[in-house]
Amino acid sequence: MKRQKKAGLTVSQRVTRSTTRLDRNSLTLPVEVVTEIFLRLPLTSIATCRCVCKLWSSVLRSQGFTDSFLTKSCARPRLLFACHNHNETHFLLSSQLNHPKHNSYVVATNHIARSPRYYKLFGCTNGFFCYGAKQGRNKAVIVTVICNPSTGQSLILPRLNSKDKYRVESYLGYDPIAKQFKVLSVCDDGKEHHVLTLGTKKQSWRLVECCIPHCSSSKWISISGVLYYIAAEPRSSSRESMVVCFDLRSEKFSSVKLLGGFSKALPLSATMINYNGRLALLMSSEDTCYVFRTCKRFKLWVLRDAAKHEWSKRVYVLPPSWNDLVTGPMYIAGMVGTKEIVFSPHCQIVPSYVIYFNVKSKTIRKVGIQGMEAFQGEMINTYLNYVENVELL
Amino acid sequence: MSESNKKISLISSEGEAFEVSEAVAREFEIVAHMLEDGCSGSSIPITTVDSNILGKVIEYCTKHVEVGNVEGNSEKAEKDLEEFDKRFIAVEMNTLFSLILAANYLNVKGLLNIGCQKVADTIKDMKPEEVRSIFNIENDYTPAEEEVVRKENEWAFQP
Repeated sequence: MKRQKKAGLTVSQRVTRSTTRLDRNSLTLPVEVVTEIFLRLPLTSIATCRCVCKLWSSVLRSQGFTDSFLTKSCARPRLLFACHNHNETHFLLSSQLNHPKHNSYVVATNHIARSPRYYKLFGCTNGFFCYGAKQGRNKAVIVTVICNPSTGQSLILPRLNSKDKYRVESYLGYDPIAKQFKVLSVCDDGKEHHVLTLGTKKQSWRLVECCIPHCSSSKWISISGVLYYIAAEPRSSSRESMVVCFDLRSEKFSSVKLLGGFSKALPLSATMINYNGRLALLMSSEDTCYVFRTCKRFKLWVLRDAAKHEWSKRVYVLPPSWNDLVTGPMYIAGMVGTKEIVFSPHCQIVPSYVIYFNVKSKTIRKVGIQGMEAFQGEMINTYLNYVENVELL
Repeated sequence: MSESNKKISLISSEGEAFEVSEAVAREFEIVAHMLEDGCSGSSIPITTVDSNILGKVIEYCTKHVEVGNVEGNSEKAEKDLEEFDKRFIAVEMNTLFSLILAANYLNVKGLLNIGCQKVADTIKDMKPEEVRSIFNIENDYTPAEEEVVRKENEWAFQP
């Protein structure tokens, strides 16, 4: 019985050999049990286990394990911090609190530094981070870099074959059905749209057609196989006033009008949010890039029906304690669940912190972040709901 | 006689019989399935598990059935059970592996869970060589292959 069970679990010829060899000395745990152990390990230990033997390495690289690990990390999302120094991009992770209490804090660990340093941070999807870096000295171009902030593995994508290699916006989308990452890069003032599928042998950019005239922005999000980004009508003075949707499977574009129609400009603080699986836009009532202590309320628009351009609207009024806690300019980092808005200071000063605004209980909490002492005075970007992904690039 | 008082004999690989209540035997999901499939015999052979380990698994299941039957005072009971689990799983590696194998074969989910967690906690901060020795795994990488895989995962070895 035992032997049969084992034989059924072996992965390849070589594996059979190494398993039987083990039997001489001691017990061998079947792959399904070893997998259960792996799922209880932190990512660094998983990396160690890849080095143990070929069987373990193949189990730890399998799609099944990647999926199980992702399911586990989705249950405990984390905070991701990104910043840079002279020639490297730095990432740190901390736990992400739900309903924090007074004087709570988290500790940023897993510090990873990778070159090249970023020129522009694009953002994060499903455990992978996307940023732009300068390449070349005289006629510098922007290349897109994909990095896993948990493992430090990174990949510099090929240069774009475009006239304008400097003004590039890249978005990283994930299609949960095909289990595929795709990068969409928009350049030449929104006239060119390039797509690259990650994980394919020959990684190259393809041009895709888009018949919606628009200028892209740096605000985007990937939800359920669709990339959404805020865009403006292509007139020199125009303001961001629509959401462009890029379906990652069909690679087709569509657009959604904002509340009030195309002509109305979106407040500068607008941030894209995954609100219970729906696209939402969160913004302050004032038309400023950052959020200040004078801020009174926030608006949340949740997309109900993209085809009908239907949004629902909510308003959250800040309690007086906001005034006591906020000192400098903050930006909206996003939402934890559907009840807590998180803000991060424009410039982190040690001791670092983020601010939680619970829209239900109307409470404001400051959450300290320890372990960031080395980045005093740096611009630190905070990303919410980061999930660890073991997948290798 | 109520059904819960029915006794079942579990026979270890050495042929030794362990008499347990049906409720305890049903903690072994494999046995529960046999009983549901109409296996009427009162003795069930567990041929892959030896007496020592079978005795331990029965001890684990008996404790969990006992605590499950006590009504009220659940917080204290839960804490007691946690303490029991902690002591129960604090065994040397070979016994731990045998317990995990038995829990996997007999399908005792709780025991499998604490067993796997214990192994994970043990190997968490180890180097590949140490993990190999715990699992008694022979390194089947060639030096060149090992260098590649180490390089790919080198971030994990940095202090």
